[in-house]
Amino acid sequence: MTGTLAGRTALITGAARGIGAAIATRMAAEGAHVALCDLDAEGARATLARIEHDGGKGIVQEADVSDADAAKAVVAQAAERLGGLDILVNNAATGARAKIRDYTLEDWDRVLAVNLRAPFVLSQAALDHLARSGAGAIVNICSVAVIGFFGQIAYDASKGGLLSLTRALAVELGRSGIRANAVCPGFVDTAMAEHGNLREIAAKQTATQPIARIGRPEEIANAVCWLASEEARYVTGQALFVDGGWVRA
Amino acid sequence: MHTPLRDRVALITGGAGGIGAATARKLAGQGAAVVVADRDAVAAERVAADLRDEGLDVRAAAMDQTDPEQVERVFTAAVEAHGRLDICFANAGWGRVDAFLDLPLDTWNRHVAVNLTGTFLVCQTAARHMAEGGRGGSIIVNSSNGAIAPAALFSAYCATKAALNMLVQVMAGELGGHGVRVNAVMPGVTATAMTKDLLEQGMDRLIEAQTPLGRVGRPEDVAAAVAFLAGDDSSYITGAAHLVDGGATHNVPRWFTTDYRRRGRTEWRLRHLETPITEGGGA
Repeated sequence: MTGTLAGRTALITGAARGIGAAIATRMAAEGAHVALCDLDAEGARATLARIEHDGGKGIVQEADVSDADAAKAVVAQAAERLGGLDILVNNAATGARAKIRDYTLEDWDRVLAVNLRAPFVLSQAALDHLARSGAGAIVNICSVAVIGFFGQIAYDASKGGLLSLTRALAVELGRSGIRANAVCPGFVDTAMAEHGNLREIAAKQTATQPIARIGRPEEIANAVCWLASEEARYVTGQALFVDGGWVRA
Repeated sequence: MHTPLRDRVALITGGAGGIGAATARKLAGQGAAVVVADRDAVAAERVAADLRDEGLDVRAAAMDQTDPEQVERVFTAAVEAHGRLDICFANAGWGRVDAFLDLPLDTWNRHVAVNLTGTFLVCQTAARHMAEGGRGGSIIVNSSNGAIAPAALFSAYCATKAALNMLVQVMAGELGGHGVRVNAVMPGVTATAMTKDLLEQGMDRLIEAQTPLGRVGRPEDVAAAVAFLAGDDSSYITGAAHLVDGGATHNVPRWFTTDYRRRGRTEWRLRHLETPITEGGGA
């Protein structure tokens, strides 16, 4: 670790487990002070304990970011407790698996509220803090589903929307010194992979991709950290596929 | 010093140019032994000597990538000298501004020979050495945002760069079994000798105005992306094309425009500035 984020502050949603926890861990290892936001406060506290054990610093924020008021409060409190906000990582996401014919409007609204509305609300609330940073960065965790075949209509639509949101943020906020980028993970080894037959599907899928294994959460975190760092100072509006070559090769 | 590329060997084509030289400095600074290959042997040696003066491990090689024998010879010599090849930045390229109606066949052919066939030769030769070495590797191709965003007067350049993006994707698919990752970087307009003439015609102000991050790209911006793709932090990334363009592409840039309402009288001008384009060359 090289301290590429030394002195920075970062808010990561969905940080209790999986990709979000890996992002918070790597950012803390790079010197950032991190706010771990999650519905699961206990899980977030456990992740923070591991970060602190390794010498990192952070706070836990229990919130449902699909609630706009709660999301705004998360940003305000993170900025206050960390002393500003340089990096926002919109990682929290949810899904619902059903055929289009059977998809309920309740599921559609819930998925869109978490995956698309919350990143907008959080980004809007964070604007002034990120602009004050002088090196503000938003990283949105999308999915290979932006290519459009993951088989969950609301999830696919929300991630496609999140990529367009990312590009709009990049174009409009560039002059404020804020960069916005997306990371599109392929199959990653997280608790989500335990759902249903996902692990079996992942094993079959990854066998036929150039990097023939399931991705590690740390590999997503590495890409997020790079995009958030000064090394990527001229990169904005980019969709970085971290998928072992699944959809592009 | 942070040296994540310690013990790695890198070869950079077009290594004497702005982006090539900045990348040589970046990779060598991270611990790699670097071979700077360039058609201009004197310039390549100057870049290598400057970096050696800074204590970095950099050698020069003369190579015109349109000649398969020269490509073979330089790669073989690099592998013999260093015992391995881990990273190849296929960076050399060539470009010229021409209206499509007036584009000479020689100019078209030169774009194809340097940008497409030359890059193919470089990548195939690098990949063969990496596959034979058995340690995997990382190939990075210097494409352009012109590969995905059309730019009037750049038909040959954009077409050859678009072809490179697809070459990268198919190479990534075929080389995965050898542990070789293949990715592209797509710079926006970057301040180098190649773009100097255009930028001095007023394009610098246009790029600044149209680019969300408000400035023209610097070679170091691209070098940083290449270093990321060369190193282990990108271990799960292959077949991808990475924009390093300050957000310009998604702002839908148009550098040269014409008033399409005037049928049969196409006059290309730099957008906003209304600067007439006098002649081709230099882009």
